[in-house]
Amino acid sequence: MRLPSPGLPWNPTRWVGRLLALSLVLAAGSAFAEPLRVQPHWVPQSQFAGFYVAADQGWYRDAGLDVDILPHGPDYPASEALARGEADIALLYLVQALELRDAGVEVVNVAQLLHDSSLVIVSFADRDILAPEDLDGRRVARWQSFRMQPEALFRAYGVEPEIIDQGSGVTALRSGAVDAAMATRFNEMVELYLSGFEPEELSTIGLEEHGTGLAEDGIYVLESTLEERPEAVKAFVAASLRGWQHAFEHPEQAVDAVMERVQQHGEPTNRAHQSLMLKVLRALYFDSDGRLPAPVLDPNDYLMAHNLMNNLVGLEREPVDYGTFHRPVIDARPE
Amino acid sequence: MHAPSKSLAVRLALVTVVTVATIFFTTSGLLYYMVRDIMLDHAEHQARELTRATAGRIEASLNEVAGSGRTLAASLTQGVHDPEAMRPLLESITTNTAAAQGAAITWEPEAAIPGQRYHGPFVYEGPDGELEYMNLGGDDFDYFTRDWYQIPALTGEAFWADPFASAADPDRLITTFSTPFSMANGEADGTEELGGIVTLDVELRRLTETVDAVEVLDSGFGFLLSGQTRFISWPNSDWIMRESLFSLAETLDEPELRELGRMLQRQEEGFSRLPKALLDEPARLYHVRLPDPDWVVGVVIPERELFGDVLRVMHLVLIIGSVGFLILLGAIIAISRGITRPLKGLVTSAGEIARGNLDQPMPPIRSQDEIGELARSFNDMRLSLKDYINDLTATTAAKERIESELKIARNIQMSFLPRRLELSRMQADVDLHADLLPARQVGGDLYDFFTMQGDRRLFFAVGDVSDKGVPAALFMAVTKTLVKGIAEQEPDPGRILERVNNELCLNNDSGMFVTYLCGILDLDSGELVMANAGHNPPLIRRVDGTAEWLKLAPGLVLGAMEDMPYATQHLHLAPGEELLLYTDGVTEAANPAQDLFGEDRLIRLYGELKGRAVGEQTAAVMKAVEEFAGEADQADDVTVLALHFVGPAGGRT
Repeated sequence: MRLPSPGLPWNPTRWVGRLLALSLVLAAGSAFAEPLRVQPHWVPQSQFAGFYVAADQGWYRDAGLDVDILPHGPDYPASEALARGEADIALLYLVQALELRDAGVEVVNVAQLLHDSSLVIVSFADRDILAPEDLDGRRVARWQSFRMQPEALFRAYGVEPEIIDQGSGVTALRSGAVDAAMATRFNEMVELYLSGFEPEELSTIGLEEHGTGLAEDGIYVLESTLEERPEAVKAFVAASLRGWQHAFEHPEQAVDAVMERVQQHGEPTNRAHQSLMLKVLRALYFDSDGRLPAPVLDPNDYLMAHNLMNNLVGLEREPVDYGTFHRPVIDARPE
Repeated sequence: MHAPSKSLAVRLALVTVVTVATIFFTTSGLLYYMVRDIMLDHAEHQARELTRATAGRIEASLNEVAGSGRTLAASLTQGVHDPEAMRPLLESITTNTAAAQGAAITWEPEAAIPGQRYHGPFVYEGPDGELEYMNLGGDDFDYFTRDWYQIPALTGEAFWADPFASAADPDRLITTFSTPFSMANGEADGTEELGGIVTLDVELRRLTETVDAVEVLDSGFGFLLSGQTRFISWPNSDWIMRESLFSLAETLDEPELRELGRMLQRQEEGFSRLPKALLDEPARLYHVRLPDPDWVVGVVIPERELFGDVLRVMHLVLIIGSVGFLILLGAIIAISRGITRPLKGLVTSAGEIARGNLDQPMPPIRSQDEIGELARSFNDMRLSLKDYINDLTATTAAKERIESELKIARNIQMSFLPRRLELSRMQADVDLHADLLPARQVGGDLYDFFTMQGDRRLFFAVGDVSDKGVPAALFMAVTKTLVKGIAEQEPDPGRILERVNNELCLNNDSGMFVTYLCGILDLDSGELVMANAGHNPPLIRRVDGTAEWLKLAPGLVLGAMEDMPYATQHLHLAPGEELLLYTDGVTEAANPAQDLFGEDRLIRLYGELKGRAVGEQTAAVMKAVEEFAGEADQADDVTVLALHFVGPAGGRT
């Protein structure tokens, strides 16, 4: 993955413009909707259903926001868009955010959405990979951008697989080119199911279950954005949480919203895939009482992620403390 | 008369039509399924040929591409090419491979040009058909992790990528054939290592056109699915490259589709049922799985069309059958009406006959069948019945006449017998009473008493003719008359009986006879003479009251044989002594258990009747006999005669 160079070019014109816009908004009260560019970290899919629902329900507009959910391609990470200031808000995995921090980009987590890891190492049941130990010497594909968690797993179990950089999906696994590959429970596992594989024909090693899972989707902004536009960020988070709750409670409507974006972007997915994805996400997002938990990042997750990074790739900078990194704009459970 | 709840006509029609309908529908159903099976076999055969042919055409195109790719890879392996001057070769391959619209060679990092991570000369057909060129690879296009590169690189085998929509034109479907090539690694041992990947792009239009061109009947069609059963060619264009059998199984909630998908992934070739959800109607599909790529080619034939002809024929058969049933129903009702109409007439006539109207004529039935026969028999029965009743009427009249005559005869017979009143004319030196109860209207028993020679002698007698009824009564009348007539001239009872016997034997063709006991009592002296012609012995009660049998000399019955002697027995009755004469109707009276009344019972009874008036004595004996017989029929005439000798006038005082 290409990370932006630590010294991001300072663009004074942009900041002047922003301040000007801000002052205009403040002057006009709520008559003007405040523009907010949101960068999801993947192509349109149910992983972002809550944001689509909030937008379609008009909850961003009601909060005085003019939210623009930016398109995304597999070759252009959300972290770069945030770092370059091309997005005001980005959805990132915790590790991606830490990498940005280590690269000197002062991102802060304003809401943690997915508290557990959805990542697994998947193989076929007939390939005898049932536990992490079985990965030793096997050909394992893993995403470069998520390399740390499997790497931690390999180290923890003292196995040395042949690591292959993973493309976007699990075709390499299906074709037999690799013995195991990484997958998210909500996307690639669903894809495998929709390719005709029954759950019992697959074997999965969950990273969360083996102690190397990290918190995933969170809402990130640059520290400066939070300082300059705290109300807008808070309004966005509040409306988005509401959107998520609504999406899980009204899955058909949520999938409609997703499919609309899918069709706009010509993604070769289908409703079944997005419905199943939302179903898996619901299980990942929801507490046992069927509600979203408070969008607060667990300090242990933060520490653990840092330790992992430090051990595996080394940190260039002294990590900021939890309180600096995690600035929850809402710390209660959404209603 | 009640109307029948279910007439014969309706029942007959119902049973016949139901039976015939069952046979008809069973046969039709069987026929339908047999013809269906035959049609299905034909359809399978046709679909198999068609699918195999289509699969063959697709394979030929794909093989051409694979062949070009492999040739290029082989020549690259030999290292005869300059990586930086590949464009002409790629252009020539693209042009000469009919199914390919682009070709590229992508090298391993720094394998083509030292210091250069990416090298990927790529020739492709532009939108206007001109061949264009570009060099693949770069920071924004890291082709090493692309499936088309990575998979053949890792496996060393050729690889067909899943079809994908062209970025430039979503309607254009593209797939890529990629195969690895090796390079000498520069070491002396001659080993080789991966040099890179050769790819050829194939626009699927020509393949899908081949599939789209498949026509089966009117609405059958060909289809092409990817290895994940994603639709590459299918009539519903919304599904192309978006949906698969597995995704539709989820969206439509049709687990059958998932089963179909897994079957297609596993079975090389086959004929199966297409779940209704896909076309909203039942259909059959034949499929062939290509060896490489593992796509599925097939044809779908809606059952509606497959079985359309059969169904049309079956509809026609059913319509003809139904009309036939109606005609059959009508015919049966008509026939059974023909049968039951005369029957109804018969029923009416029979009802009339039952009410006794035998003059009711039978309805005219001319038919020669069983019904006609029944009517004729019925009429014969009516006539016979009528004759019989006429006979019966006549017989009854005759019987009534005879009965009335018998009643008269009885009166006459009874009037023969002397009555108690006649004795009152005698000096009352004797009390005598007699009762006779005939078993029938007229009887063969008789008793008699009359005075003789100046009223001082009393003749008394009891007799029993061998038969009963009218002949016996006549015989009895003759006997009585004879006795009376002869007794006028003859004072001796034995002589009287001798003469009567001889008279009776004259012309006695009937063979009848009579037992007879008679006596003549001198009322002054008490002298008694008696003669017996085969009759039961009388009872005598002495003055002291003891009853005993009176022993008399035996004599043959009267009318049996001529010139028989009858002894006259001389006895003497003391005043107060009594006699009891009776017929065998008393002693031989039987009770229901067939016990006889008997002489012992009679003498005992007589003993108990001491001191009673003669009338009471006869009544008591008659009553005892009646009580003994009980329910049993009276078999014989019963006669009892009791006599009490008072003696001369002095004796009475």
